[in-house]
Amino acid sequence: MKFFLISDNIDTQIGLRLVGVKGVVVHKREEILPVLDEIEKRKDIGVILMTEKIAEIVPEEVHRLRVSKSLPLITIIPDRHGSRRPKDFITRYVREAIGVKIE
Amino acid sequence: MIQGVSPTKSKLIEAKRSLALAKEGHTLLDKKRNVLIREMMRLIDAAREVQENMETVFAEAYDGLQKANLSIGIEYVEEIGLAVEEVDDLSIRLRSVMGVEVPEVSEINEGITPSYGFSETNADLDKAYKAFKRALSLITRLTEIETSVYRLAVEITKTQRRVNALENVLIPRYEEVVKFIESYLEETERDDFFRMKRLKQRKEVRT
Repeated sequence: MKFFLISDNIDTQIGLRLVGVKGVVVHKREEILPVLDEIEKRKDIGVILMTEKIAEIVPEEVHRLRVSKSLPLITIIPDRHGSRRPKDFITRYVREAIGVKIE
Repeated sequence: MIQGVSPTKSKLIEAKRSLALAKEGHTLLDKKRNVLIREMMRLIDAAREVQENMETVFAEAYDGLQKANLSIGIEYVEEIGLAVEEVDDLSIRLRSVMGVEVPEVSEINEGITPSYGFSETNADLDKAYKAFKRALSLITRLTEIETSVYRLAVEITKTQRRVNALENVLIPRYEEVVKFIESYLEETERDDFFRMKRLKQRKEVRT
């Protein structure tokens, strides 16, 4: 299966294209939704990559894809300005779910 | 007196049955929650590792790319990218843990398969290529772990809420209903018993 990138900047797109990931550059919600629709219909895409900015524009879609029982999976990646998410963005889920702080 | 509960024998049986069911459900959900938490804890080390690496790996990748762009031109880098074969050997398996689909993503081949000529490119491009290859491999790890943890977390929260609802609301309510009906029935029984006794006494007096 393949990756597919939805990016808001050309750097991420070019960099990942160098290692064999195709993608598009979009900016607005109206542009993102049709792209997502189309990818979900395709059977060969296993993982959708999204830059953080895109994920911030369509949070509901991200959540839906995250918990959906079918493929594709979704992953959020930082752009060249670094990650805006907190450093403990994965262990934070654990903390929120069971209320125990994991160092 | 509890609103909307008629104190009859059949209602008592019904309430007892509901109580037993609620308790059973509580045990099951509690077990489910424990399994989910254990599954999540298994991922904790990997999660920590991935989130620690994120920043440096991506910084290196973008840094390398920038250098390549500067030395041979962004258009040329883009053009080279077009010739690179698309990754399509990704395989994803979904494993079900208590109804949560936990993905397992195959690792991608980190080996180098050059798909551009060396005569018109330079070491900067090679570095960028290598750095992005590493980033992509981290992305697959991230996909697997973040998705798993996220899904488990959502399910744990949901289960926790149900466990709490049963424990703090439903079970006490059924217990109260059972207690109320039982005491009411006992009371009527005593009433009847006493009435019978009185009748018997009167009968004896008359004869």
